[in-house]
Amino acid sequence: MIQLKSGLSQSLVTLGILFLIIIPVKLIPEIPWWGFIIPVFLLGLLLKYLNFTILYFFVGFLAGFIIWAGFSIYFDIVYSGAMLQKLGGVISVSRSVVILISGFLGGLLSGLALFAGQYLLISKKFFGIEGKVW
Amino acid sequence: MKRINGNAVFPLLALIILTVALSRQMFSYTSFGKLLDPFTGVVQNENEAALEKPLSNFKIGLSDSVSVFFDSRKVPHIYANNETDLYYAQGYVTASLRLWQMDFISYLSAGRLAEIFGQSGWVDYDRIQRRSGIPGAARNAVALMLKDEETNKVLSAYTKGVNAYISSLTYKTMPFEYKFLDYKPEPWTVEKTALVMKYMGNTLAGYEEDFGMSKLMLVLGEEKFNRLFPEYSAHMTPMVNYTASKGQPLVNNIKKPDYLDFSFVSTTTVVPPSTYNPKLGSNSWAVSGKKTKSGRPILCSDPHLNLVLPAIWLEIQLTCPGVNVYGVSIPGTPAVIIGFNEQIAWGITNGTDDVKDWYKLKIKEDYSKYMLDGNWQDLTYTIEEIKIRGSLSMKDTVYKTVHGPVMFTRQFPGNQPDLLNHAARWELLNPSNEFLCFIKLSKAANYNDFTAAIAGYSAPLQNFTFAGKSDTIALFHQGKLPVKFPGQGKFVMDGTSSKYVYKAYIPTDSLPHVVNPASNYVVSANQRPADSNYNYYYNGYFSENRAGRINQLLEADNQFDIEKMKTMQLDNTYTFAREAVPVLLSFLQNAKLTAAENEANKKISGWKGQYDRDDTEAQLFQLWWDNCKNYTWDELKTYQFQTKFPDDYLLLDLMKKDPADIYFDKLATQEKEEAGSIVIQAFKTAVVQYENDKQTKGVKWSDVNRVSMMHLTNIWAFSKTGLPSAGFPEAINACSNNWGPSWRMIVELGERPVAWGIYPGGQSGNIGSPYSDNFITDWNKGTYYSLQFFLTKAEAIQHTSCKWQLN
Repeated sequence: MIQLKSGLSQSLVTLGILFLIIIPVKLIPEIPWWGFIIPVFLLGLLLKYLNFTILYFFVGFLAGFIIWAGFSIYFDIVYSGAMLQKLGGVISVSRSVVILISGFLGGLLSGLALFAGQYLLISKKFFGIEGKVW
Repeated sequence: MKRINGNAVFPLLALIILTVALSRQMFSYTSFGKLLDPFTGVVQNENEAALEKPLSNFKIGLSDSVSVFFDSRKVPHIYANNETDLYYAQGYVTASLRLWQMDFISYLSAGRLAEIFGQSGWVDYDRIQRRSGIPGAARNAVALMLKDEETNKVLSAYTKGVNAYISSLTYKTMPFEYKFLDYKPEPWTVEKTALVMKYMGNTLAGYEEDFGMSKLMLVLGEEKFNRLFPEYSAHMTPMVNYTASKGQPLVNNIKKPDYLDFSFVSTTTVVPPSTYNPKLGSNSWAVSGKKTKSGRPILCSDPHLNLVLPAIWLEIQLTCPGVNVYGVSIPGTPAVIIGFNEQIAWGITNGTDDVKDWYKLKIKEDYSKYMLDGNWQDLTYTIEEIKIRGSLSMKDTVYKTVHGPVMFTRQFPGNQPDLLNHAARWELLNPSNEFLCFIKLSKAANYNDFTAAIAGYSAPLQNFTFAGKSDTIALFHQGKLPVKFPGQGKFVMDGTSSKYVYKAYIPTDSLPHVVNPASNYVVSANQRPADSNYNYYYNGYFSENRAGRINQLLEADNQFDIEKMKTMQLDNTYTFAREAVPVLLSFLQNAKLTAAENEANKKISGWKGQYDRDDTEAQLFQLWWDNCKNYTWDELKTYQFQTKFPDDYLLLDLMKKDPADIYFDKLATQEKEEAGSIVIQAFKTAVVQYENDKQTKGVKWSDVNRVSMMHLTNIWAFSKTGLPSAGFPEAINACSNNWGPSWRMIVELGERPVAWGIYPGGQSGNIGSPYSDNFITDWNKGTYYSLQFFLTKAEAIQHTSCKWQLN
């Protein structure tokens, strides 16, 4: 296994893996809408096992946020419809706010899943410190 | 070395709780996680690729392949090889454009809203709907419809087509409203089709006047009642004029029923105003080739209905060997309702007869029996189960008498104390098969086919206008209308005596109708179907202004063409206002007026009754005339019950002929007013109100007349609201705040029918789609679209760029 020394490169690799996991899972219609949190959870577990020292929740949140908000924007543009705008109208907000809420929900689930996965394991070495990754 | 962290249960729990919470309904309606998921949530409802791609293939279980061509406005042109496949495809295509709308209307009609919305106030709606008898009537109608071989074939195919679409749906492709309200479409049935039709019938045939009229007759007495609310007046232009020799002329002399006294009907109950809009009407006229530039007949039809989103109508062309028809259909029902084919065109307006009558019952305390002709009869009943989302179902008992269902009982008095223990005899509740009429009309090739098609049509009673290529024009008041003695059904009837039960219907060939009249045109606009020489009595909510104006315009010209017909359908003239202004102004001649009043006087004196977009006098007239009515009929406003004012023309005639009439005297003042002082006071007050409006909402007619199309969910964000608009309910262009011309159609028959039309809405029911409301701006501007009626499949291929291949 390649040793990734810096926290930043570890974070970037994690982000990449999250994209590769979440997007394909989301594209399988048979899987329930929340199904992606399971592989993300397992990834958290694995990365912890590999001693990745990253801000798990933050990286997970970022991946989820980018995917949900990004694809919301993407579909809204390619289909050029008014659905998000109309939905926003129900609670008197613009389409950008709807996209932000969508991103926030995706981020929250993905971040929490990754965090919960890594939290399952404790290194004896860093006991008491490692947990503070919020 | 690593070990399991016991504390990990907390973030894990948080994750699970969050996931579950986002999958459930929050704030009573929606599940946010699913909804905002970009891969399957609502943003996917913006996908209208199938309406844009050159070719899509769908496997839907047809016996033979069907091609559907969508033109640039996304009107489907369906080409099938046989009728079964044609209606199968109509079901599939309609569902793919409008599934949620048709499904939701079937719930509305069946009284099943609590299944979608839960407790919150909808259970009472459901109960009232069940007790109205409509869901039961739809069930009974199904049995009758399926007995007819042709109807059975069409309805079964249509149902299968809708279900083929439903079974192809996943969460991702499901219409937005299901996601938003978090429920799933159920399989379509013939009963649901019948329910959709009954819902339309309810909108059209729900007029009743029994309680209002009974109370007015009681407090006014026969003489005053007949004077203020006459059946006939000189200001009417009936659809059909009969010669006096045909029978006994009916006079304006309605007798007070002998049972009608203050113990029979209470005049002191305060009842909330009815939400039923009796003014929903329509215009349709046909002109013979003798009056047109081209020498070919022209037919126009513009039904005035509730303006909602998705629109009531869906434009469609249906083609198979033996059928080639274009027009508007009602999503959820097969065939075309108003339209044309190569040989004929037909239009429809509402009959507006009173076919809903109330009988006061004498019922035993325990609702076991009711009195009829001195004997106690058993009350029959059915148990209706009302399912409630998130709660246990509730059971309700619906009682039935020989007259009809009992709407309100002691257990459920509703908000209509007048209706307690009354039974409704409503023509709409009798089993009928409307679909056969429209299936046959689609194929009709001449006048005889047309009359054969409508002969079996029974409810809701409608006026059918007809134009045939061979220059035949006709107009029929068609449906089941009971034979009544004068005044029967105008008042609440005594349910204890079978004397008041209707025994027969007016025979079909005796219903008012006219073929190729000497005038060379026929007009139907919810006016009286026949003059007073017609020898059957009927009552209803008839409007005369539009019909009068149409007659006037058709009489005045012999060179009609499509452009002239467009101008006519968009005519904003209110004939009554035009006639009233000079009369009102004559009273102002010697009045002392302020500067502002003089200016207003000058402005309105040149006004011709135009309710145009930029007109500034219409609002002044509205205020002035409203004040005149309120000051004159103040006597009628002293009663506690909801009352209506006499006809506008009656008041105008009174001003002209009898300005000293006692009704002009205001109750609240010492001095004795006459018409003159009433009109002057009304004017002075109106000018103040008008100046005030100028500062606030504006006095341009389009500032006052704002049209809104509410989405069926009643959510503003999904609706189009506040469109500044021309028109007036009593003008041909009957645009009003939430109802108006729901489809404008003009057809000139000939070698190839030339047709124009537009409706406020869009072909797609998907609110995220650009095709869901793209006709509205043009409709509001008075623009028409050229309707692409293809004679052959080759033409359809040539003129369209989007095709569905159904197999």
